[in-house]
Amino acid sequence: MAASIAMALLPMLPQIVDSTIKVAQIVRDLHGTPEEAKAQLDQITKDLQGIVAQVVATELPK
Amino acid sequence: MRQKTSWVPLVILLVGLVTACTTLPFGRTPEQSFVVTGASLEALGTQFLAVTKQVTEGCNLNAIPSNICTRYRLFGEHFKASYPVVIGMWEAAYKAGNDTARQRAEETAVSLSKDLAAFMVEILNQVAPEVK
Repeated sequence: MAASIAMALLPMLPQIVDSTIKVAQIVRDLHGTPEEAKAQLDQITKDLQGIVAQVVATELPK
Repeated sequence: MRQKTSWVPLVILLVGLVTACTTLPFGRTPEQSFVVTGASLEALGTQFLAVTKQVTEGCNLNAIPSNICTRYRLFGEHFKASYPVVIGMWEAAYKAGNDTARQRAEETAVSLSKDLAAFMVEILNQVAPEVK
């Protein structure tokens, strides 16, 4: 039983790994011009709006 | 024989990396600091969505103890209320070029990240102690 629950929880790991890798890559690639940083910031701002909408709408345990 | 997986430390490491990315000094320009904080906020939101999905499924199947489900629901409500505020703080700080406000958003995000990581570890300890 516990093993099956653990297996059910495993799918969250790839998403956590992906998001962590993304942050690590951004930190590694921080050598761009201010214009490139601004383009990144504009993209992040857009992405954050989508994530906020998902967070607000996400279902919590009853 | 199947090798036992030690993935709780991995989870701690991964969440810790995100928080570390927001706090380690790298001699960044102001724009780069906003990029790192913004990317970390993205990662935090994505992690919350992933964990909440699995915890909610586990609670609905009665696979996670009800006291943890109740506490996670309360944390989730707090997170859902706090996260948009933190994002708003970050955006306002970015538009104003206010590094102090950016740091304040960052500190709140780190606090939420630590709470989320603590829940993940507790849930994993509860539901799969022999898998550690």
